[in-house]
Amino acid sequence: MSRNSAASAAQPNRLANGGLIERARPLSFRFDARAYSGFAGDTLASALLAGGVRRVGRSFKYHRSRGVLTAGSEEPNALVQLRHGARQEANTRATVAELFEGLSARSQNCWPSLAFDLGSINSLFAPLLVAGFYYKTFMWPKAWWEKLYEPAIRRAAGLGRASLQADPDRYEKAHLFCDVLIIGAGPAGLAAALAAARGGARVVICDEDFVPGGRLNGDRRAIGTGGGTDWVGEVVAELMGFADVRLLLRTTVFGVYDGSVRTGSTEGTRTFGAVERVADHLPEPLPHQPRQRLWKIMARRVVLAAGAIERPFVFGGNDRPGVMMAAAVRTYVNRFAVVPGKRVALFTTCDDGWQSAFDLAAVGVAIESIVDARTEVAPSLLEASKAIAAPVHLGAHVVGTRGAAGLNRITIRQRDGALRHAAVDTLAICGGWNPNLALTTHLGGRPLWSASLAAFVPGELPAGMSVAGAARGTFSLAGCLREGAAAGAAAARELGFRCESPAWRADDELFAVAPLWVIAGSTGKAFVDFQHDVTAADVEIAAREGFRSVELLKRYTTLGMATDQGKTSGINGQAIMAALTQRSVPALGTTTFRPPYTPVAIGAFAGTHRGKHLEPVRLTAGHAWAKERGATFIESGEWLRAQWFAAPGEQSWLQTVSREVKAVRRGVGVCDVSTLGKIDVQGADAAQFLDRIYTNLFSSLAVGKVRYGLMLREDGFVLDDGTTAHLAPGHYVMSTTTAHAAKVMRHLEHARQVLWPELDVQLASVTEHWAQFAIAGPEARRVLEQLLGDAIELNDAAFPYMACAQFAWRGLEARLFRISFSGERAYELAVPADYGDATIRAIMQCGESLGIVPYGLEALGVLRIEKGHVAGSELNGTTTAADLGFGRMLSARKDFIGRAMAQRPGLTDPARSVLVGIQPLDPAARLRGGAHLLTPGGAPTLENDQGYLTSVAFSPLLESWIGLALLARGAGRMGECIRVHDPLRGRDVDARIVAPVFYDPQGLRLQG
Amino acid sequence: MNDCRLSLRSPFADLPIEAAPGRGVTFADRSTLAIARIVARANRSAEIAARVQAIYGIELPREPRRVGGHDVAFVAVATDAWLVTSERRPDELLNGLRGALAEWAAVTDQSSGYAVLRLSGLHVRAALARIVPIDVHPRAFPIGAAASTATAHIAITLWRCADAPDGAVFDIAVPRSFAGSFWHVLTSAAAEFGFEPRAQR
Repeated sequence: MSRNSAASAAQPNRLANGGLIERARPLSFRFDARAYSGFAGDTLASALLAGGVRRVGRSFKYHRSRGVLTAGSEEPNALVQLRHGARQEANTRATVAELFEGLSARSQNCWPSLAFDLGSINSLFAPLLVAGFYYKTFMWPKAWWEKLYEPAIRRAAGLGRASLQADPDRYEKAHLFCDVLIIGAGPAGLAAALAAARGGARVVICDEDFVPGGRLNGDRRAIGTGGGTDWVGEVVAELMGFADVRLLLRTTVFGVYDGSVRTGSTEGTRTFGAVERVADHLPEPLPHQPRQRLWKIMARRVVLAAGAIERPFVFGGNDRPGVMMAAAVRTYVNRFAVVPGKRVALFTTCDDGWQSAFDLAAVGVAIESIVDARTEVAPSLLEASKAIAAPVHLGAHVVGTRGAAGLNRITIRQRDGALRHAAVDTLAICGGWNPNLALTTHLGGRPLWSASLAAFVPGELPAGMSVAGAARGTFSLAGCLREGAAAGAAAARELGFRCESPAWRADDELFAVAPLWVIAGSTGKAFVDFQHDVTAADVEIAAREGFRSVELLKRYTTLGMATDQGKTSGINGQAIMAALTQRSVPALGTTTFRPPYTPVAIGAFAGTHRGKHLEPVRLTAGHAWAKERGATFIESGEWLRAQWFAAPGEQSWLQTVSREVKAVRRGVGVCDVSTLGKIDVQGADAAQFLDRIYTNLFSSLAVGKVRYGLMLREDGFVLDDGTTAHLAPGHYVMSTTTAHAAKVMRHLEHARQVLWPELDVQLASVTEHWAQFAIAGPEARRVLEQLLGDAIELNDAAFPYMACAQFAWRGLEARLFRISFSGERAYELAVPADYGDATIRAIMQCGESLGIVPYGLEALGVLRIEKGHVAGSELNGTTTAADLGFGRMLSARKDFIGRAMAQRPGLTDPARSVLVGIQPLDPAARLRGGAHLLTPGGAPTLENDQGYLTSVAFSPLLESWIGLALLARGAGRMGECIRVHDPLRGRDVDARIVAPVFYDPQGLRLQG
Repeated sequence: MNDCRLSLRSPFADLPIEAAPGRGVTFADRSTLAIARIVARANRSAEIAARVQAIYGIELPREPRRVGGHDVAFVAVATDAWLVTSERRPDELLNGLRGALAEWAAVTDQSSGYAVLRLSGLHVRAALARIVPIDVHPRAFPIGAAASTATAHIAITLWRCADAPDGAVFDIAVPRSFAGSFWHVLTSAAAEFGFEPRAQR
């Protein structure tokens, strides 16, 4: 064995030549604070193996030393904590983590160090930690569970740790459409892609690896006249020449979802979820680059070519570092130019395993023994083994392993029963291959058992899906190429593309297997599920205790429930259970796979919807102006609204809000009310439509007038309130509350399209088009006269309370409504939102001499509470018109939505809670929204609960806290005393029940 | 001062462009585009089609498509509902439509209701793939194609315009109040390709 002398010190197990690594690009990295080196093209696992590292982590429960088992995403053992600080990630499989310069990784689940781990004492207590341990051991006393057992177990058992810091990287989501999606870029997938692409189909190929080729990278194969990787290069080059072909590497298709594909039809697509690890192979993402990207792929056809997963045997000590899957061993040799050991034995029951021995021998590694459980194998294998001088033991088994820090000896039980020890540092094992069929079961398909392969193969497939190659149980290279080409061509042809199946020449290699799951009579712990430390004995306990179905086996032992989801363990566990309960594997069945196929970071699902971008934010046209004025903003649904405009020197929000309220009551204020919903209602039957929507009559509303309206839901409760203006014959504009705007629009569209399609009514949401400002206060008219000039006549005779008009103003179409939420003389001016910014500035300019004050949502609330006007807190979906004092608005002269259901006894019960005012006896006593009302002296119990405060405010005019409340039988209780009880935030307050209008009950100020 | 015209402020005014040099995706603010929504009165869509044909010489689209040009274009957005766009002043468009169609259609001004961006550039489709869940491949979304869809919980309408020398061109109409949030979505999607204002030609 020749080694590169320069690298040999750092990389003792690296071959001098070969491999798909870039020797010109050496990389340095750290593992557990030691420096190592590798090459571009390495995984962390291959670089660690090259560096002679055998022990990578400690196991979940028993803290046993574990090394690298596989060379793929199915890895259960070699999990590390990758990177540092906020970017660190737990449970990263070293077998898929690409090496980059400066990478740092730590072993997991060990303390104080990987070599000397205190937790490994758990092994001594192993008899206690068996299946059902949690269920049985900590039943009593109950209180000890939370305080003692759980924290202790959580500390001892477990894998990596979260950083507990915000992820500094960006994630994004994207969509991809194609005719044919190909999952897996191995020989079958590439053949399928080329067939479909040559026919002109839009093709997407995804592979979780960072190099295309699948097994061709790990095996030494020939296709046509060249090597397997040459073929991959040629095919990929041709594919990249097609404009409509996309090859996504580092991309795992993790789930199959809904779709509309029907067999025999070219219509419809099916949805797949995939995650692309865009920058996981870089120290940190490039500028503007996401760390990962979640693809939602909509495909008309899909070819699954996801390959197969090699399965281990269950025998004593099978988890010792140095025991590796046979195909993984030759992948490390061929792809990474790394020999995992110097003295290697093979334990197999499948022809394919022998290839690993031959490949190792080809690079000069001595094969200590080839142990095949079968008593007969193909003569060609025996001949080849002679050529490499490897001793062969047929009908033999490995029944034990030894080595504290890693394998140093195996015990072989020969066919005659004699035990023989062999000093080896690596044992390659191959129990056969399981087709990687997870994606065929996500929509409910059940796998079928193949006796000849001793494996499950895909059963019924989702419409539009076909499976090719090893994923289908076709393990020969020639078969994979043939099936892939046929599947790709067939998928494209079904969609109308003309294509043929390309053909290549590759030899059909041997692939015989005899089922063997657990090695009887082996010594030591025999692991089924490496990651969850589930042993053959645990499966036996489950069988003995009656947990015999695959689903119960899984949950009782946690077999297959680790982050690897049982990729290497599921079938072994099921086969052992089948044998224990005298059933066949197919009779026992298999658990189904669910998405995701491999773990996906939550950040990828969140994408850019993170932090304040979780939801969109809506801004009014006056936002920039309000910001300039120093407004404090508050979220109101999706909208951001000005809460108040603090003036210099003001000490508290209450001081600011009180100033704003007084300005409106005594002078004039302006408020941006653009967020209220505005719905344009037109048509010959618009008036009739409104009559049916609102409880009160609208067909009598004259053009140029506005009316307050109340609408109910179908179930009789109040939906929303607002004003509707009659702008022109057959043309109305309805206003809704900000909170219910979308809901009301849906309600109206439902009524128009579904309930009364015969009515001639047209609806359009015009909320976005109009910026609207309320100008309120005794001086409001003077401001508007200055602003609007002769564009509109504003004297009270021409434009009285509840008038509306649309008119031209400064070249714009403007609208004016004389409506009032504050109870003062007030107008709302609407202009196209493009001019909203200019309009609010013009209003402020015209109002300057009159002392106009901008006011925010908080002052708006105080003003409306003083007037007893209801808002979102009262229109909360539980109140009836009568509850809110609107009983008389239910017209008896017409039908309307909700009329019948509003008559239900529960909705007309006199004991219902109704709207009242609440005023504390001590005006300075603060009321809190949500506080409950109790009879004085009554205990704070549910039985004594009389109602609750819906809205509260400090009224600067009354110089008192005031509140609106929903109070049981409230209508007849004016003047009564009541206790306001707030166990969450403060002491109780004694208060008086008053009418829910605190200010100007006669409404004289509307004309003032 | 009552005679002086008010100045228009685009919903995209003052939005920050993160440093993303490059012309992979280019944009132009089209918020001055005049837009009206017309909805057919009961059983009047045939008359509307006839009037639109007679007056504008445009075949009124029935599927999600945009037909027309600079002065007026119709984008079908729902059953018997269209957005009508024009490069002319909003009042010209509205007066024209009301004069032509008032008897058969409800006409509402939406010129300020939408923030409109024109997107183009070599990588515009790749950026769109991160924004909208629809297929914008030339085969699936030819010139004149239109769609009402959603991005990041924002309802948007987009249509494909005539190609520019550097490739496909799309207009996206976003409800005005969402302009800032949409801008964030767009810039995060496009920054990787380079995102700059479209040069005036």
